[in-house]
Amino acid sequence: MLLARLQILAPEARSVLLARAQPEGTVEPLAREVAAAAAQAGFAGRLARVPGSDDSRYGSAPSRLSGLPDAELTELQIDMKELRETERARAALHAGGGYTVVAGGSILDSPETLLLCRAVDVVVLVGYRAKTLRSDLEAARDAVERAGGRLAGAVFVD
Amino acid sequence: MVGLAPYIAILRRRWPILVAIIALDVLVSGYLYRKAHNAAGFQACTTLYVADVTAPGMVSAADTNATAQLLAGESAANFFGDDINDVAQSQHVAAYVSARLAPRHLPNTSPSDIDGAVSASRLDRTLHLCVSNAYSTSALAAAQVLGTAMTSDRALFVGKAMAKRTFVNVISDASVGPASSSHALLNFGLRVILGVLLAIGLGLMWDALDPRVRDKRDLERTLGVPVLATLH
Repeated sequence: MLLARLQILAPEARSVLLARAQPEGTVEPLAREVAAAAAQAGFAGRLARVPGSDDSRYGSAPSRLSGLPDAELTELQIDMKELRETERARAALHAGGGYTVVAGGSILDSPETLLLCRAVDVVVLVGYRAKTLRSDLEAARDAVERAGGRLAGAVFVD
Repeated sequence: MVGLAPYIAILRRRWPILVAIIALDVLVSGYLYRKAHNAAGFQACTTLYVADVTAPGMVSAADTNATAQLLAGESAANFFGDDINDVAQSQHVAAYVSARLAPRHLPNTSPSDIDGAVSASRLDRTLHLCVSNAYSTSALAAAQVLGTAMTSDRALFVGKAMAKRTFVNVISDASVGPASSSHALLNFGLRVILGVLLAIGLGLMWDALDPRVRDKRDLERTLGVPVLATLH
């Protein structure tokens, strides 16, 4: 459902960054599922991790989206040099014409995640009920916009 | 109904606050109701008639300004009636009633028990004096003594001069009955309603002051972008 709605909102998008506003939590299981959904939809689904975003420090992972079977995913490594040069990072994310889902960290705490905002086609922010502060969400939205990224939507974790 | 939906959602989300406040409210209201109900117990009432002895009835028929004197007599009786109303509820009278009842060893008849338990109302020249007490015998005896205090012994409280000008008589002997608890019940109902309103207000305020994201709509409003998925 998330991929389908994303496709309706931004049909041209081939790379999406999933990021949080607050430091707690991890979006990797969600990113993995979106990449699996992309693979099922006929794209070459790829999962990338933002270097330096150490999600394993935090325990709370979002639930599974819809019980999709694990698909064969290509895991893409992004290095810091690519991040500093937006065009190189963009080329790496779009290489091979697949659909790349990037599991990012916190927009406000991870500079790498913020740098990736301008390399991906769209950014999706994840908000957690009763955990994420509205002020953090607004600051994250402003940071994405200032970085030149395009915030396409949000995911609400109940 | 559609307009109320977000508020109902907030109240459902903040149900622990609502339940806590309403439960506390019902407990306090119930305690106050019980206390008021027990304190009232019985009420004994007596009715007095007040007149001004210088009123036209006492004036010679030859007097030419009878209408003016009639009005003056009416006003004076009303004034005396109000005066006796106030005096009947005073500490002085409560002490007198208590002292007169002391030899009978009736329960709840100390000056502090009588003081504040007397209520009085006037309708034209008739005064309705009531005494509340937890015991029917004490209420009845106190009302009877109160009647005596305001008639034959009134000079002790209103002064000899005023006592001379007034005629006060018991026209209905004291009778006792269960005190009306309608006010206590009404107060209980009002307290509960106010508590519920307070709980709703606090619930809404608590939610408005919460800086964390609460639901999908809240997230959409804050970010200005659509929510693409909700994970449970």
